[in-house]
Amino acid sequence: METGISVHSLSKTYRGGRVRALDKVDLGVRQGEVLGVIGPNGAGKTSLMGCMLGLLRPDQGSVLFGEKPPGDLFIKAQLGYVPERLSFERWMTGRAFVAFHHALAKLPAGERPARVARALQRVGLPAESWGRPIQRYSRGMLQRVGLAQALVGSPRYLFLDEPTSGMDPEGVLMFQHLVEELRQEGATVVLNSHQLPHVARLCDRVAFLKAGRVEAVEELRRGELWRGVKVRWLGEAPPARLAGLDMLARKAGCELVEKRAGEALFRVPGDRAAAALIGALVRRGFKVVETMAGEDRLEKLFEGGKP
Amino acid sequence: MNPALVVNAMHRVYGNSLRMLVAGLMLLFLVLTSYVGLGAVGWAPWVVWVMGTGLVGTEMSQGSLVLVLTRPVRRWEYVLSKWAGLVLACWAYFALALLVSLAFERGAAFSDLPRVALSFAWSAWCVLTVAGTLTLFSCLAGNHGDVALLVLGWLLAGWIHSYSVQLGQSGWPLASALTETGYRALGEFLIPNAAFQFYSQGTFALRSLLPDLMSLALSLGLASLVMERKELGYGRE
Repeated sequence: METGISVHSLSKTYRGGRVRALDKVDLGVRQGEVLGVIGPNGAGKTSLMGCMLGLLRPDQGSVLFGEKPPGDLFIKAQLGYVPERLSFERWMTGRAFVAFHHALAKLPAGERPARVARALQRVGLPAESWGRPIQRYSRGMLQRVGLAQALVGSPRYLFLDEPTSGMDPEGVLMFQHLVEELRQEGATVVLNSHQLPHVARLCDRVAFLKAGRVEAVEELRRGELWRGVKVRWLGEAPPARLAGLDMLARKAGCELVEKRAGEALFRVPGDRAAAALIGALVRRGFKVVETMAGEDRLEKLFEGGKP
Repeated sequence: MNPALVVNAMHRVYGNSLRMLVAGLMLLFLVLTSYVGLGAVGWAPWVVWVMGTGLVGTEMSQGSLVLVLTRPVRRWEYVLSKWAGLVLACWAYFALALLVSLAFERGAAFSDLPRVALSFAWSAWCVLTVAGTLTLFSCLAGNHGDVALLVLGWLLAGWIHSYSVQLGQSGWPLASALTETGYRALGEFLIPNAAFQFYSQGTFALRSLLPDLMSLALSLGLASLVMERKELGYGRE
């Protein structure tokens, strides 16, 4: 496995060591993968990103992009970053702001207008707003122009901190397509998000952070939004029928997670598969009396349990 | 130095309407002062402070600095670029002041053109050093805290001066002289006055530039060091 970014034993404290934000974090981000970082507020997600970007100095440990530290200019030239707080040069127009970041990235001035226009188009910012000062942008437009500045240098490493908060549904869809495109282009993406469905849909793996520690790193089935469905039935099912549950679920396109007396939890990719599963259970002789949305794997992680 | 950051710093200076209003009033006052050119020399430090306050501090407080420093820009490069942007913005202001003064004074100014031109050249020199001090203070304090640091510096200088006088009156001439030297060094650091000395004493010695150059080197060196060690982010600080 080629490791794009490696984080070794990273610790970070604030206020003279009284507040511990990161506690010996070890994490590897593979080249070309989309890694989601989830965790409750104050878990250390933004501090981790700050250390990875070289904006914060860790108390101990290291971050390496291949073999180079984040402060290396060669690495910085390949970074894109969308911060959670969108503190931009608000007096600039959207176009000037993205052009400013293209210039800061020390990219050829000759190709600037075309690259800026491409980045703004890519994030779906209406062309008539490009010449408007950023201070007159809505929150969703700010998110888009923030994404555009991150994309304008064709980054190899992209860090996104809550990139869809405040975006309209159309913007969220655009963002999802964008991440897919970036994945195909080979970019390595680190995504901090509270929105578990986005993480489940977009990420190859997810790291769960709690109290400054990595509690778990999970592989996800990219492109498959798994939901949990719990099914309860009446009476005791014969052992042979229970043994066939796994096969039955797979035929309906679902997956058996666990089974207990009188109930089972399945992962289902969507409503149709859930309906097919319940129909198959009834046909197999299960007296289904109740179906309910179960917890999915990320929700379980978020609540502190093992998936 | 990064040209994009230099231009950005100039934009920031001229993009603030309140700043421009005060600078405009100063320009008017400058033109109306008794003798063209002399006003420019006296006003130069204040023009720099009005134009440049919050040069780095506002970017730190607003958080826009975070994005800039994820780009391939060294932190010392950022500091020098900000300083250069402020210097160029102030030079543009003094060039405008010179033109307005010449237009206003007409014959009187043209009859003494070399001295008028020299006065503005000295103002331009003064801008270099004052902008250095401001850049350092702006790196140390968020928002417009640089002005607060300037005021604190003056208070400290005033206290050192009065203490040196007391020492002299108490029969401690050597201690008094040393304290007075400290006062002068701090005063020179806060508001370099080589340009004004030239006007008040009517003489010029190359060595009078030395304190200004030292002040500039110290300011920009310290500012780069402060910025290098500064943590930027919005985690659980």
